[in-house]
Amino acid sequence: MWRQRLDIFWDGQRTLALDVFDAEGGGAPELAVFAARDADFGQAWLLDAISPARWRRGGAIVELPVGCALASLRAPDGSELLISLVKDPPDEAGEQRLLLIERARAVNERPHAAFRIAQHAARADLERLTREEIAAVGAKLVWAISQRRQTTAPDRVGLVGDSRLLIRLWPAQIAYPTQQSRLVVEALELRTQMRLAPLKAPFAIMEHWLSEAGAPMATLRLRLPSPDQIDAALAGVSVVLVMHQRRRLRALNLEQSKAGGGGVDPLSLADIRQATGWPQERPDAALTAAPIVVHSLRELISGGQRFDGVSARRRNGNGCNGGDFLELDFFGAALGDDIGLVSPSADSGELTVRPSDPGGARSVRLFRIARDGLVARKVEDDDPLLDEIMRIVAGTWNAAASAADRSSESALSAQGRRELLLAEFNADLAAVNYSGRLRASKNWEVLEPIMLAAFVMLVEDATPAGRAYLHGIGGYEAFRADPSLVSALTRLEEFAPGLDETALRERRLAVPSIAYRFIAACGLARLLAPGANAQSQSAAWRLFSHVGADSAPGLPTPPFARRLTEARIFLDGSPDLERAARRAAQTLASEAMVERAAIYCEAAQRPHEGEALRAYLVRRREGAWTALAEASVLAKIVDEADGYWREVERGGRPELETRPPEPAGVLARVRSFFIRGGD
Amino acid sequence: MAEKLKLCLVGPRGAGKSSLVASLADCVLQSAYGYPPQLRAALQPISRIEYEEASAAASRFELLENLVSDYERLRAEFAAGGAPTAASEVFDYHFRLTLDGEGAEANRTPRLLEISDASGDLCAPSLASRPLSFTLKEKFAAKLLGADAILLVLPLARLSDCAWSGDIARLLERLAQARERKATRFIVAFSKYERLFVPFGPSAFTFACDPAVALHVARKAAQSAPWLNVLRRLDGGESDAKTRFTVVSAFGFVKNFQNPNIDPHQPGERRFRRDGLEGAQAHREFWRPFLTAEPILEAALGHGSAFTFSFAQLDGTDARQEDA
Repeated sequence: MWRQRLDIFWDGQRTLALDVFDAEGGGAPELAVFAARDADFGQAWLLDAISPARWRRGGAIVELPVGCALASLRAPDGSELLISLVKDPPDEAGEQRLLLIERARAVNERPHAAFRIAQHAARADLERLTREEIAAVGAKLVWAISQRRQTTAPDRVGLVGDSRLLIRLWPAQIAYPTQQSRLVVEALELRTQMRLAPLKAPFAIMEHWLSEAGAPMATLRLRLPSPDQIDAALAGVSVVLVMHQRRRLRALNLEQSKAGGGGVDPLSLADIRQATGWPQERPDAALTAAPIVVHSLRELISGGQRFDGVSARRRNGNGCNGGDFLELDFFGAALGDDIGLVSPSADSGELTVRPSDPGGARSVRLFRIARDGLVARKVEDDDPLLDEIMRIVAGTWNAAASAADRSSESALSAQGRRELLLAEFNADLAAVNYSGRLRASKNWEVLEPIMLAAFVMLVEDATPAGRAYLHGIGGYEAFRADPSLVSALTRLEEFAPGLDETALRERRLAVPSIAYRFIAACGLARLLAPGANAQSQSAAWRLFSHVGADSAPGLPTPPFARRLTEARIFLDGSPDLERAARRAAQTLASEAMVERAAIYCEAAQRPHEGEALRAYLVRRREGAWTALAEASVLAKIVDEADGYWREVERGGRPELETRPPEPAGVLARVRSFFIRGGD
Repeated sequence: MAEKLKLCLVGPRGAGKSSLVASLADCVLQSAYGYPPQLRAALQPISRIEYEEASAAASRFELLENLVSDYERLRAEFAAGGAPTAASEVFDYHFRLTLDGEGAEANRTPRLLEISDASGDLCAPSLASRPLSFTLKEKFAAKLLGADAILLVLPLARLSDCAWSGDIARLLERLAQARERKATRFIVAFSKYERLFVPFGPSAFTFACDPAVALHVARKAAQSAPWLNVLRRLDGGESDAKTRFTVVSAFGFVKNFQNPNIDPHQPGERRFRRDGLEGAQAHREFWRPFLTAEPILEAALGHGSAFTFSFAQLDGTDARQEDA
């Protein structure tokens, strides 16, 4: 039962990923995928036609037209699966399908990514089961998606049907890495309190020092994720302290040197210790001379040593999922300095500021120490300061990595796992001489790894020319823009020119049916009449892309398309469209044959049919197009005439069938032909 | 009868002489000096006529004339970020210093001060500076020779690398030899003290307030400028001259935050200020000068504070150092 076996993931927007991830259960038959806005599918669009060979080779990624919440998957045997996309909160009926995407167990092992499905009844403790599944995979897990679905009979939801089955889908969720692994940071209030000096100062300036009772401490509070997520959440995250006055002094010294003046030699801790005669003197300041201090957040939280300029204390509290709070005291920070968190591998939203996130580069969240407290500031990707911080972070991590056990995969961040998977995908692409590469910095959407794997398989299955074509139109970005069309085009032997990501995206939005988009991309836009119904779209698609259960994946038939174009025949809603089109294209391809048939009709006193053929020839020579229905009628006349002339050529002289004169007009003659049966 | 005292500032261009004068009144007002709090000093800018006549009552000629005095203009310039002193004039600023405190420090007799300031180009002309008029040089020389105290303002930088060191050394040598020199008090003020504490961030003010640290700084600075030993020859000599060293910072340390008051996010050298406010008021929230009154008070009172040091203290041969 392919309908139960088929895995369908919906991103909550307009993308559906269809595949059969259960390797042992077999695939699915050839399926045509339609979408419609109305339940009766009165106006339906073909989204893709998936040959059996494509199952478990990336399946299909289809993009629904705007406003469509219904899709239909139809098999040649008439079985149909309806998909209804639901945004209401799911109830306890149905099931959850958890897709676990794991890296291969060993480097260079193929396939590099394993897709495994875990099914659970919706009424079960899904949170616990999901957590257990994720924990069982361990460090190999790259991505996990949970999809709630409910299978029911169509009439239960007001759809008419008997052999059809309906699946209700709710938006898929990212189960790993989870939302809870994000680090939420907020600034605590700066407390500047004056107090009456308890001691009498020996000199006036010291009274100020006594009454101010030290500089206010800048503190950030982090909401830590739940204990099982904490390693992943903290990995790769650093605490950063930017001491801008040091940076300014450094610049000032450079200026002074250039101007011939003497630079400033700031005091060191050794100076202070020598001056005070107190060898244990230790200021509340960063002791390094560097203007930027970076510490690994995980090392900071583990404690056991003193960190320059920053200290951390963990507090039990109501963090995410019962997690704790972490308070970071930047005792080395002063007015005008920046403090915050930086994670070079952070995805969008992984570092978030409460209550209002300033946005900017996703890898950093900085607060400036201002008079009225800590102010979250937006740091753009091209900010030179961010570049400076990143260089220091990279140096810190490199040093740490050389000291630490690199094989400790449990310490690998979620981003790190993704990058490894991408690296292996890229190795696959390189192995088949595909020159494009997948970019590691790309933010992943919920269905991203499925799309990436589908793309890699598409490249692997393509011919060298197909790969070159795919790379030329934009590679993965083009594939993302219109997965169905790009998959079809890449399988062609002749390639559609002039496409790029933007054009593909625009056409997909403007033209919902892949049949039209494909024909247009092949330069055959006139071959399909506007407004063709679902069956005609499907037949046209089969004709041109030649998708079928008995054929190799997607081998096209461009000669047939050429014959239709030469004969200026466009496909309409004719019954048995595929056979009729093949016959008409075959029969009317040669103008000479049509001419000879016209002569035959005149000799047989069938002037109207002869005139119809001549009128067709005139139109054809003028570049005008003829509908398949009319072309089929003409093809039958030509066939009949051809039989006569062949008999003549063999030496016989068959009797010409003569008919009484008919009313004028081509259509009248065609109607007459229909009345007589045609066969 | 008020005691009158003439002080003359010398030092290279950019050393912070004018900034020192500009921040003087605020320093005293905020009691940001190293003398005991009981001193309760007050420093009031006055006009030249008040200085000359030693009277607080303004004459009818100047009743409306000096509403915006040179000193107010100087303070406004300093608040706006400062500008090099024009090398076309010698500026005299006048103050009335009164001590309203109790005890031995208190001497209620007001002192009238005239502080003369001129462009650093007069002391140490740079190659890029325009030739100065003989009249201006003569006028400033007269101020120098006629001053009761000479304040040498030197920035806390690598003095051995400073191009002006030779000029200042020559000037000191000539002053030491000048027979008509009146000054018996020499105060070397090492300026821009706050910059040395940048590495200490929020702890900067803590260490800056420690006289032992100030002594260490002054000692290091003096050691890097051996030409200051000219003053050593005068110190305690026949002329009964006295030399003292101190540290000053016109920018100071930020109130409450306690780091050096240098806004790193503004171009040039600027103090922190609240956005949206203009003028001196914008800075007051953060600004507290540091010991800029010290050299003036030392010159006027004749006795030191916890932050004024003699050669003996710099040399480590004075018992006061241990006390400090």
